[in-house]
Amino acid sequence: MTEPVPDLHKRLPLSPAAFSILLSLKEGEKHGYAILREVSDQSDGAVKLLPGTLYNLLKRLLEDGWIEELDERPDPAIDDERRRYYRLTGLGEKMTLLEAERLVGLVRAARKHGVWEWREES
Amino acid sequence: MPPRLVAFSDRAYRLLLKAYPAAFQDRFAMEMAQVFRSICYQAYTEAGVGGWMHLWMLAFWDWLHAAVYQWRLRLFKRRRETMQTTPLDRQSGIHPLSPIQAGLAILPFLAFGIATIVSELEYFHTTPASLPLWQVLLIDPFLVFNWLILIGLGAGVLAGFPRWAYSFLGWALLFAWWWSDMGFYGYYVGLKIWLPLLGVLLLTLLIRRSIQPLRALFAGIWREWTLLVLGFYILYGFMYMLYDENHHPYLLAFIAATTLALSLGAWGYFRCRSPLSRVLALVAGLVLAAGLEGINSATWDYRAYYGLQEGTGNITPSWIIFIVGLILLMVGLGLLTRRRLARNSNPK
Repeated sequence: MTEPVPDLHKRLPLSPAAFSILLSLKEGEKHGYAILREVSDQSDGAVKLLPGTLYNLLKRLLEDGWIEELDERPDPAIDDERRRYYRLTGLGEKMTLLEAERLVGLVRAARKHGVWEWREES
Repeated sequence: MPPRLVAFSDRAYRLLLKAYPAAFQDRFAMEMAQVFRSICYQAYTEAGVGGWMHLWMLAFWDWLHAAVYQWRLRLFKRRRETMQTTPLDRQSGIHPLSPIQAGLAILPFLAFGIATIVSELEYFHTTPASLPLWQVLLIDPFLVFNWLILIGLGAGVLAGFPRWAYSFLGWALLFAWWWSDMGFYGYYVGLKIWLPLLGVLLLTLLIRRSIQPLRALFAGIWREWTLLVLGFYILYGFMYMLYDENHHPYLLAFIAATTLALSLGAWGYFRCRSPLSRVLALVAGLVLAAGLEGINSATWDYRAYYGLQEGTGNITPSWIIFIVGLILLMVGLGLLTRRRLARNSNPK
């Protein structure tokens, strides 16, 4: 019996926080605090996550199979060995791409409707 | 950062983490405490005690929101039910409810039993008919039962109509039907008794701004035909629990025992894995309730109590045929559901 292929488009749009977490993992595996810093940096401080929201989302992304936890623990000489590292899965990469395409489409539509001209005028 | 501030932050945040469901704590609490310690250092380094206090204010709301969200998931498992397929789903189409959800599903049975017991108290037989309507609405045990059921039904609609909500829906429909032609304390409501039920459904759908719960309701029945059997069960369970016009000296004990028997059957229904086992749990509940009623009839002579003439007993051949037919119908629906789900999970 073959598994049904989930319709990934049905899961869009992603919340800004979830999309930011996925983006932060694009460059490679990270632990919770590093994700939090990266999300803040990449949005110039506009998206600030706190542990409750961060781990709610990480749990959800783990359950959906968009990210996974690394089995290996860091070398205690380099990092706290209790830290857990997360990385994107193939499905997570697909979702990140789909959401990015969706946002690009929206921006394209905004340009087409002359929203940029308002920006220049203001 | 002063060590006392570090120790305080650490201890206080770890204490807050205990408010999360146990499974979430086991998996994430240590990491969350670590991350919070790091951002505390960061906030203090960047903005001193003011920054640290500001962080704590934000962290408190973040904690409250996240803990409530995790508990909601834990209790209602909306995400799991709507988004994930478990091996059990693939096997039988519907997975059994968790003990907490099954407990929620049997609440209407227990509440109706309690309402029936309370309604037997002398007070409810002597209350003058001149009570204002609002007072009647708040003190009549069956009306109080109805309010509770409507609250549960509303919560079910808000939660996207999980399986436990069918129990509340069944009882709410039954209550409205039962009271459609009844007066109480001198008031006659008639069909207006349906208004609170319709109001709750409408209000909760408006709050959700979606008809998804209604779709889930009908899709659930279409997917699992044994929910129709649950409907029969609620109807007959109600009749057994009511012990209408019964004045057995141990009536309250009979009501309590029947309530427990029927609640147990409903519990089995929501906890069993296969459709046939679910239906058999309901049949067992009804048989237990019928047995209790049999003992009640055998130990109390209602004809003598009401001064009636000797005649045939309650148990007539047509009644037996009806009950056997009902049980066969229930089991038949269970078998059909099982066959259908097996066919769906193993397509040729």
